[in-house]
Amino acid sequence: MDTILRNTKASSRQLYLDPRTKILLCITVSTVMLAMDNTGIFVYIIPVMTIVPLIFLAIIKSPMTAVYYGILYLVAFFVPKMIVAYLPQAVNLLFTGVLATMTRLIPGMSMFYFLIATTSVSEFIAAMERMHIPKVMTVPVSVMFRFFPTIVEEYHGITDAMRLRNVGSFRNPVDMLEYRLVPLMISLTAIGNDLSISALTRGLDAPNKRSNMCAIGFNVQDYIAIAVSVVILILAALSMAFGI
Amino acid sequence: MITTHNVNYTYENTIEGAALTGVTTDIAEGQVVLLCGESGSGKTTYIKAINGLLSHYYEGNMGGEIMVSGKDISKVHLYELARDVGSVFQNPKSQFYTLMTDTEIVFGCENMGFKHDDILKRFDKVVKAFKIEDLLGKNLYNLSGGEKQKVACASVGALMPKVFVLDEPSSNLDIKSIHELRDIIEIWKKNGKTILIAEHRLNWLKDVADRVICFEDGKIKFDTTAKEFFDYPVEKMHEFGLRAPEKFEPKYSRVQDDAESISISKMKLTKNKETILDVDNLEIPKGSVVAIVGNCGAGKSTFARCLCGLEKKAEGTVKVSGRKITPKERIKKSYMVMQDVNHQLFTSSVEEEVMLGVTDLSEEEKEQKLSKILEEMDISKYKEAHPMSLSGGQKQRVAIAGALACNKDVIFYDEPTSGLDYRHMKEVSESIKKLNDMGKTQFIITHDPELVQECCNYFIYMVDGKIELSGSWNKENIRFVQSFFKLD
Amino acid sequence: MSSKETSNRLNGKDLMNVGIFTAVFLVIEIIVACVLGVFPMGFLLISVVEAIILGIPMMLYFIRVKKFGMILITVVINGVIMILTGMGPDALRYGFFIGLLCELIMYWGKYKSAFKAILAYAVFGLIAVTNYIHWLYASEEWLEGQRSNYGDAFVEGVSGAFSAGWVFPILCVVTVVAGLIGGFFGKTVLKKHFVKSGLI
Repeated sequence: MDTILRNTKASSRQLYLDPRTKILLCITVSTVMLAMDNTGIFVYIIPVMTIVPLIFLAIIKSPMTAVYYGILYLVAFFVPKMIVAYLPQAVNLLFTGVLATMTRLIPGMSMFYFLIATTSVSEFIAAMERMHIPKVMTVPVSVMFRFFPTIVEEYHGITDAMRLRNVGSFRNPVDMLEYRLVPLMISLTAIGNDLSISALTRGLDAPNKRSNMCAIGFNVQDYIAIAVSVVILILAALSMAFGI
Repeated sequence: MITTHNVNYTYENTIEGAALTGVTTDIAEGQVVLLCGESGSGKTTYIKAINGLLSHYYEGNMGGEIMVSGKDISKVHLYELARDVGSVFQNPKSQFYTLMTDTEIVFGCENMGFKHDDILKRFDKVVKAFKIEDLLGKNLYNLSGGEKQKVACASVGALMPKVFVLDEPSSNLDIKSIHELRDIIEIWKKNGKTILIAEHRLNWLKDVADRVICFEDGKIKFDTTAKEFFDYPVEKMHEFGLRAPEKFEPKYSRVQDDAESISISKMKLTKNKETILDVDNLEIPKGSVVAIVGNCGAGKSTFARCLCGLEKKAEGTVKVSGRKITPKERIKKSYMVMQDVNHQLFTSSVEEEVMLGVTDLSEEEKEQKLSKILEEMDISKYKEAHPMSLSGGQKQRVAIAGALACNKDVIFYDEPTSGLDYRHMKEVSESIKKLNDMGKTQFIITHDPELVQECCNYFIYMVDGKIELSGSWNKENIRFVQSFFKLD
Repeated sequence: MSSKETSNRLNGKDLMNVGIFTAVFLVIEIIVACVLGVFPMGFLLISVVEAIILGIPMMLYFIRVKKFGMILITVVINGVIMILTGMGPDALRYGFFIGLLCELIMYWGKYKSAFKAILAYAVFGLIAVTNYIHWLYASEEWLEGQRSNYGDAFVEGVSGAFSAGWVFPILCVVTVVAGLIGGFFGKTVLKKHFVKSGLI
């Protein structure tokens, strides 16, 4: 019957790429953004890097996010230049500078957004297992992802209860923290205990190698993307060493 | 298939006595055994003994011998036992490890390291057998409790163990889901599996169980055939502390007076472009105890949340005796005793918890009010205790006490008796009746016909976000509710 | 009679604990960074505020840590996520050693001492500071690169605080102190709730 477990090729939902390729792209974009400055060959490469996320946004058909990204980047790029002359030095120090550094961070963060939005947890874990990352890392990571929505759900339950009791407003910060975090931790540890016994009675602790049903694998588009990333990374290394 | 010989078990760090004492049982292959008993009687501990959790997960002292499928439980690792004993637990939301149904079903097989094709075969087999094709490809967070339990059953079923143990699997389920769960158990029974089910709600297993073992204080009270057991009169069942819904005969009918009424009109809520609540017009007499019944997903919780003012996006007006009440005012005057009581206990002592949010009284007045409320809720002796150290029922009463302290007029309950035995269910209904005597209006979302029978005097039946039927206990309504709970 | 695994290897239950608490850690870390990062002075306070807020959940975590390696895994996961989100390899590079130091402190306390746990937590708070390292020390070359973009006026204006050598060490010290406060606060809350109610 129809199930994603039978998929053998990456679809548009996954940006047509293997999770490992996406991880490499993330690392490449962030390395370039962080380590390189606007000199030499990178004057050309950096603008290209900032456009790459837009291409991906087009693939996953998310025009609103594309617009959002575009606006954010343009603001971060142009606004500091315009206002730097008008503001006192202290503000420039802390505020304008930070805004300008945003141009460095936005492409990296959007690449991460793609990684998360187009890779299911199981695919991610499959990629990790293929890379021979041991259980001590894959189990915490999968539990971590599984708990993110749970944390949100439990938190909302608690804030609803707080509203009905008329507590937890910002008047008393210590109480505010205590009333939110303590029930949250109690709730999460209770769920965690239940989850442990459910997973352990289904063999989580088995010492053998785990199979993985998620089909991941490299295709033509992966090889192209990997090749481009490797080239850029080599150029980056050369640039740092010899300053081209 | 399963033999226990003189098993004793005491949990570490417990003030109670032994959880199991001298338990000797012999269960043949293919038997379906119903384990019943009050809360704390040992039936859950017995299940944990069989699936290996007592020996390998919990801390405590174990004596005696447990053999399953010829293996000594204490000498076999939990992951090895996974192929012999499949466990399904009570809470649907904390049993899934992955985020999607397909991956959840194959989770156990993946752990075992089975080959790809083997896993696909098992997957196909179990999905077909349980008829859950329509649940494939969905996010587990979006499924109802019943659907989650089906996926949990499929997940352990894919490992094809010979023994299945289920620990109160129907606690959080509606009537429809319980019947679907029963169908799954019948499939297992047909395949010759040995099944142990610990339960409070016994009716749904009437034609499925072969044998009934009742626990009390960690010992086996009686061990009889299912036929004999289900012929016991209601009084005898209640004596044993067991639930025994028979016909539906509401005991608590309202004294007809011309009380004011709460009228709700055009209450609507849309989420993701879908209308999940659409109540055109509803009038409830003030001071009633209203049962809200319906299957999962009918909109009961949504309705309660909108009515008490929690849902900011809800439309509609609520009037009491003609006067409009805004959502803000409704929050001030309402309280909800939630299904997950952990969400609403915030402090480290019962007295602090009850008086939380009470700001307009002097210290003396507070003390007086506190003692009075604690007395009424029968929790005076727990005044200094930490709310989290109390039992489930006591925690509920602390939550209700808190509502009383804030002078709340309308109290909502979300499944207050799921997972409770007869005695505790009676305690809850006593609290509700007490509050009713104080003039509070109460709404109870419930799947429990015994609770409705004990203390409700009005009801609302919801389907797909709409209210199909509502009213007090006239002949037709009683008959309708009886058939809804499948008690006829 | 029972064959419980009392070895020092991390078993399934431990790994699940790591997952749960790492999730809480990351969620709070991201929320604090997003909320404070908008304000001008905010981004310098991120590590301090985090150290105080995370006191409750992280102390609960540290009290449950009875074996070597759990905190280290949390740190590594955090470091990898920082790399993937484009915040740089420092969180992993320096974080690894910070994590190791935390593990050693916990080991020194034989996983029983509450005081050592607070100390370990205070050191753990330095993880947030690793994200600043890049900005504070790479700023020189970066600013030079920015001259061509923004002109001299901007560069003069911004170069002030970033290149002041005393900012970073002070930040570290303040973060550790905040961690001690947060840890102590966390322990008090734990005693008040978790110990009193018997959950620990």
